[in-house]
Amino acid sequence: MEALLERVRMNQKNLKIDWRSYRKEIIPIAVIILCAVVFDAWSGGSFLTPRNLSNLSRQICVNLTLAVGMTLVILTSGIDLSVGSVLALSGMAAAISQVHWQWAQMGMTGALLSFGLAILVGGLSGATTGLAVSRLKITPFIVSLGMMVIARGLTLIISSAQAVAPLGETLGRLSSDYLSPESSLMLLSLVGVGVGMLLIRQWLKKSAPVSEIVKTFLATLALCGGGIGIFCNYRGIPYMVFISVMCALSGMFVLKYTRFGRFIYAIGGNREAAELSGVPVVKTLWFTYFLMGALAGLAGVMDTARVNGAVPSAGELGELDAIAAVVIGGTSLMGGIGTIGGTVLGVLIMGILNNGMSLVGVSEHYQKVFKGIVIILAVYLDLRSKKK
Amino acid sequence: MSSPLLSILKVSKSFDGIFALREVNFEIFEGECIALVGENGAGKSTLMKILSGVWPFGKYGGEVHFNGKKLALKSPVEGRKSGISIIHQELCLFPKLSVAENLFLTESYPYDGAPSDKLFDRVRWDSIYERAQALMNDLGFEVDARAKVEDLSVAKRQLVEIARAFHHKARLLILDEPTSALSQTEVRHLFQVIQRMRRKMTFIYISHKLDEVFELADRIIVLRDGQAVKSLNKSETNPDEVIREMVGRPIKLTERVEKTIEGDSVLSVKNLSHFDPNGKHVLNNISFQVKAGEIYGVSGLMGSGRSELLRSVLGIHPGVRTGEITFQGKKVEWQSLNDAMKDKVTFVPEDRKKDGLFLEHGIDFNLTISTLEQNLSGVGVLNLSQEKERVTELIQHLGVKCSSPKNAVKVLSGGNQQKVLLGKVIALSPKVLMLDEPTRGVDIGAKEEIYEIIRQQAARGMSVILVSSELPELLTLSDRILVLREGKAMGELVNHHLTQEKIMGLAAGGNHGSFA
Repeated sequence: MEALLERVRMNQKNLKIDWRSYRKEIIPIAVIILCAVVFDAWSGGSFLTPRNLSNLSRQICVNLTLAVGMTLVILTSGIDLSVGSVLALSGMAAAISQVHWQWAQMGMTGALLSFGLAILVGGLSGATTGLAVSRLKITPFIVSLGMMVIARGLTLIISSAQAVAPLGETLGRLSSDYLSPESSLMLLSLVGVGVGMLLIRQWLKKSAPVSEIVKTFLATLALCGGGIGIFCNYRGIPYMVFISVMCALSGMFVLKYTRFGRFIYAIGGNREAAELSGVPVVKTLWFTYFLMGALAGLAGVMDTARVNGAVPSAGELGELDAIAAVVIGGTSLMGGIGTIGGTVLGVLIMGILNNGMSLVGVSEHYQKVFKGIVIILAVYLDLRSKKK
Repeated sequence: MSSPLLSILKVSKSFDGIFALREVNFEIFEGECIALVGENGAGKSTLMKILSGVWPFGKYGGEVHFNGKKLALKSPVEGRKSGISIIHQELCLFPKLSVAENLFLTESYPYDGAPSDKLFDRVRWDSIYERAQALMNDLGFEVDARAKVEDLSVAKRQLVEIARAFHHKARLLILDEPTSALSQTEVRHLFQVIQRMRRKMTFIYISHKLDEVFELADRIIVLRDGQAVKSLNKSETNPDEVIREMVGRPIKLTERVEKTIEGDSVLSVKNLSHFDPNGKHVLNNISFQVKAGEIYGVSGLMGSGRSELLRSVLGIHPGVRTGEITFQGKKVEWQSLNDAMKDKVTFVPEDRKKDGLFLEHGIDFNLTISTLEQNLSGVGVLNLSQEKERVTELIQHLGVKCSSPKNAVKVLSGGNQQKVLLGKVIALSPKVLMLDEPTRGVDIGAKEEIYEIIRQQAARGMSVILVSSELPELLTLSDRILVLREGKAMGELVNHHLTQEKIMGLAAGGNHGSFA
């Protein structure tokens, strides 16, 4: 016990705050807080309500799922412009399977099959893009631009350019159902306590830099605390939110704790050097685009469930929202530098802007102009901070 | 001779507190031909960068006077207009454009014969080609003004650069190691050109090759450790004195311990030939064997195929290869470095920034990227604390100077960067290690440490194939040396009473002089 206290005391001495290591996160967090306060005041207090925030969380699920995959792709110094169309194609496939193939009548099995079909369709598209990028070495920009048009065309073909609706009840519930508030509370507290214990262990064993521990601690506090505040006061955690947050967490884990993650950073950091270091460049790239496609498929089925049907124009400009979130989150378009954590902040900013502006009645047309300005500004700020 | 054309007055330049130039003083007079000599890192290239405006006025200490006026360049563009032209080792031409376009591109295009500065004036192509050809003919250069630069030989490209400098009214032309990629006849021709042009321009000739220096220069200025230590008139000096001044101290590099390698051959290459995608025969019927624990040197001039040999064996040089490669008694056909690494054969490329390092990432990231499978725990998850221990151990073993293993590699010195690269491949415990220029741009102290690391690894039974342009390095490390010239093996020398002259004789063809 004495020894333990001694170690705590020792560590406290080292706990001096080095602001530089938080610089990357401080700006987006400040922007989030500022936007929230402004929108809340502007809308007369209807922004910061559990109900609106719960809605906001459901609105950003699709973009979060896409942005997680996009982070991986951009880290390899690539880009995937096809995700909006792939989302539409896989969402349409799910809807067709539900409506025309009548999987809707198969209840849970049918829902799961449609769900899997969407991910499969997305994965196949992604794998095709990946093959062209990795093995044929065609520029990602061009390949995914082609795939963007191909997937949109296929969507129009298989749907005969018609909306396909309504889905079966079970698949629709993916979007409309919630984990009960009680189990939400339990889940979030468990996660919070678990992560907290892990962090204390890391701090005592000094197995991670202090700044990183503080970051994880604050992020967990915000996630679990905010989650409890919002979801337990309004219906509980939406299924969709649960799924997309799991995607983000898995993404973080993969990047930090697997060889695949390291390889992604290596390829984006210096492709020549990666090849000469024995990194399986082709395989890694291919798998990255495959994952991106599968995530777009997942986003597709989520989007379809949200509107309880599929329209051929689904996910238009979805790729831009995802890329914007990634870039706002501090990932370099040159590749090699960036984190999923940053992307989550980027998704939040985009989501708050969308939700807040709609809430206070800014027309959708003006919203577009404003969003464009935000994206350019974010990249400019990032560039400037790098020069210093 | 009256006032000097160029005077360098107490010029100093430091990088992060380390002096690259320290109060350098010298003068050059109109019509002279000066040779500037010095070891790697003596400050020659820093001085050139100051003269060309890469390091603008104010970023260095002291003054430069040119043509009676103080030189205050703000950028390389101004440098070009000032009357000083530099021809770098890596030529600055646009390979896809014609000779004529290269001559006139950086200034205004001639419009109806006269230069015009208007952006949208019509370009008179005929007039451009005519003028370019006239310029070439005037100078006596046999170069077609309509030819694309990429189709010209290195020697002809140099002529294009010289012509361009002349066209820009350069009064001082600096040639940085111009002969490193030239054949003997081309060198002769270049010298004739310089002798002829001396009436029109003043020359500074930078070279390692003392025989060339003594043939061309009137005066030899020696730089050492950032200082101009001596200005010697050619008629009053000799190569030995120049070398003494360049080195300045007894060469400290440890003597090679002669040893005989008894082991079996680990890697054997038989009748290796390689054609690059343009159909050029870059390697021609080369055979050699490397034994366990042996350091096998490969020497040759630039363009002799020394780097290509390594890359071809590893299967990473573009083009078609024929011949047989046997590794540990088995025939192998490596297609990528990944294949070779599975057999524990690794490679440290020549250009560490472009091909070797992840500059933005930490030392730890760079050290472990090739050996991540060594710290996997359980189901394919990286064990970060184990990785940290390994990194700390490696950093200590290699003597990398850093404040934390998380330091980005780009902030390290060249020597420390090279150690990180070596550490990355040593972590694999390779059987064969191929090194391409392992100490380029590395200071003397770190060089010695790197030699020690290489020797240690060889003593443990690892075979090393060492490609180097520095003969002292080859002589101090290698057990045997293969000499290449124009893609052919000129001979394999056992490092026993071997001299630089012997190697140069084979590498350059004919009995060719000293090589500092």
